[in-house]
Amino acid sequence: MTQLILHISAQGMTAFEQDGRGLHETGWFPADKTGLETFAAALNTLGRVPVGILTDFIEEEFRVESLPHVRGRDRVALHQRHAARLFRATDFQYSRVVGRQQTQRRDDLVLFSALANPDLIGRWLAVLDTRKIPLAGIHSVAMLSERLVKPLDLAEAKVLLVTHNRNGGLRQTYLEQGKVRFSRLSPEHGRPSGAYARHIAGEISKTRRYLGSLQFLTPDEKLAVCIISGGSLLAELESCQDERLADRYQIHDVAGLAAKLGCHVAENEAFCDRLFASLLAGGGKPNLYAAPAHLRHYQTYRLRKGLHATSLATVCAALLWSGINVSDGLIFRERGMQTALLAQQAQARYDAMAGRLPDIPVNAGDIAAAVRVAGYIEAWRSQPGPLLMNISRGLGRHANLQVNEIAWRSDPGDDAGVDDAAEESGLEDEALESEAAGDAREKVQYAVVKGKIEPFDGNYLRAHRDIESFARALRGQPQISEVEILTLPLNVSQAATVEGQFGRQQVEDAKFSVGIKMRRDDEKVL
Amino acid sequence: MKKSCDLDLSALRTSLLWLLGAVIVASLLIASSLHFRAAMENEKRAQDSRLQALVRNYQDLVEAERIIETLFGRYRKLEARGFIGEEPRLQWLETLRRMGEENGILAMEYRLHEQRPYSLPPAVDSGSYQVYASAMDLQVDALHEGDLLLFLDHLHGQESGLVVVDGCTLRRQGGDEVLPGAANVRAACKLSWFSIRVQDDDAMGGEEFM
Repeated sequence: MTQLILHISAQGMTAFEQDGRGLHETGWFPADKTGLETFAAALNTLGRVPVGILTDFIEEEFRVESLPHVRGRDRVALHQRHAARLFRATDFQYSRVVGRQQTQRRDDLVLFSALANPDLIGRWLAVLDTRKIPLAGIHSVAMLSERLVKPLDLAEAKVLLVTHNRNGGLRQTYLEQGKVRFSRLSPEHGRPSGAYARHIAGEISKTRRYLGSLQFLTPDEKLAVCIISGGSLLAELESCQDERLADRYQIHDVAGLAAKLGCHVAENEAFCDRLFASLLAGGGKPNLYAAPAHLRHYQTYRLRKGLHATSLATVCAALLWSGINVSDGLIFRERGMQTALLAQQAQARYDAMAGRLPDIPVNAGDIAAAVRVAGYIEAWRSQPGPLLMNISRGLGRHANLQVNEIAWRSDPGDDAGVDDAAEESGLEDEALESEAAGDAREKVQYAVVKGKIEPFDGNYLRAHRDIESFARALRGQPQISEVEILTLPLNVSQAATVEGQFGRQQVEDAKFSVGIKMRRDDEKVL
Repeated sequence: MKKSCDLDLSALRTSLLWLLGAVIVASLLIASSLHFRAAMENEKRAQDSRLQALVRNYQDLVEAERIIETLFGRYRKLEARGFIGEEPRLQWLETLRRMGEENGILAMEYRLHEQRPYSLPPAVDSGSYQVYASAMDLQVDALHEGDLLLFLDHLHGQESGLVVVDGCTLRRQGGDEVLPGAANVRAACKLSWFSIRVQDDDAMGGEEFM
């Protein structure tokens, strides 16, 4: 993403453009009317790209105050009130907790910082705001120095980091436990060649005394001093090693440090401007000093980007979904065409077969149904012949039994019948009817044989024996499943009254009846 | 330190329009693709249904061919026998008379009742046909039981109508001896004459009459 990094000092502003190829300097704009106009003209060509501001002012103030330990909104409100008291003339304020006191109430140690002269940055902000350029945030070289602690492997608790910026001057930042506590900028006013090392040593000595006055250092406490320089300045510093005896000095090459941080800096680069610009462009917390009002174009910019991204994502998702749908549709179409081809072939076979069928006035289903019904009726209809043959065989050895009546009935043995329930069999015998009802599922024939003993001499005992013998003979016939004597010449049941007479000439008829049940037999008898 | 941040809504107008356009385009794309997919799916389903119907029709046709080859002759015989369609009552009575004469039946009284619908067991599928049965009370005088049995047997096998003997009651007439030329046995039988008709034909007949 293209963005603009503006490194602003009291003298002017250096603009860096970060794009896909890296960070490159686009121009220097002096802090006067001409510089502002030139900058405005340059902005017109750049368009609305987000801008990050890196300040490097003498008027950046730092205070470490102890405040009651509170959390959440209370902490924010407390810090805001305190910052407003400390820095009445500026809105460019920042605060954060850097530690806690080890004694008493264990109050928070809060670092307050501010850009004390808002005019130095305000004129540049006005140019940006006029053109609705999105301001991502305002940072400072001093606060950004914290990000160098880790790559420099500064293990000491108290470190003075010395950087030299081309337009700002000599920046000395004091850090405790890797956190900024104080920073001081010494402007460059020209110096004789070869006096660089002595100049730095002098500035460090001043800073050290100031830190002592602020009670950051005791008089005997040694301070780790880390100087970042490069090119000819670095060589000059290394040639004056004898002058840095009081403290533990480290000298680091700008280019080497930049390489460690993944930034591109020229080999002979002597200043740290580009390094800090790269750090700010590289991400992290972009804003310290800008108020929400300064960031409104950036919020709008982000929202606009978000809307664009959402629009793009919506269209992409729709394209993806539509693609899947179209793909599915094409698959369905292909399969449908294959099915249509099969259907065409099936239709041809159907037509060919239909053409072969004879032209008949009735459909096949009706033919099958008619034949099925006729077959069913023919299958269960029966004839009385087989049953009568069995009765005849049973009578063969009982010449004295004379049959006067045979009632025969066939039962289809299922739920078939005339719909009118009043249609009943003509058989009179109730016993046989109930018997039939019990075996409704069998295909059976029923018969009731009525007859008499002829001649009968009045011997009921013999008559009964003959009838029982007849019944036994019937039971031995094929397919006869049940034979029951329904009535005997004389009812000798214990539940009934028996009466009669002996000795007279006329003897009553010895009538009897026998019920027979026979399983259906399809064989023909006659 | 934090102050309210007012957005520059005028700068968002274009983006919002882009989003609206994107939503509209996306909706159109999705709707049209869904429509295309649904149309193709419906087309495929229609083709599937058509193929399935054709396969079913073809199978039915194969079955119909088999039925016609195997059962149509039997159907024609049933039709000729008067089993299918209107009852040929005169034909039945003539058959009855002829059978009586041929089997030595001395006298015969009949009463053919009105036709009634007959219900087959549910297992027997009668298709579009309704089965009817006409009950007949038949009283027969015969010289001997054998004549009666022959008569009934021949009645079963005759080619006119489909008749079923439901039951018979045989009574000996006169004395114990069998008298030549006399009606020694009298039988009262119940018969059912069956026929079938296509159910729609009944409705049509009724409408025409009305």
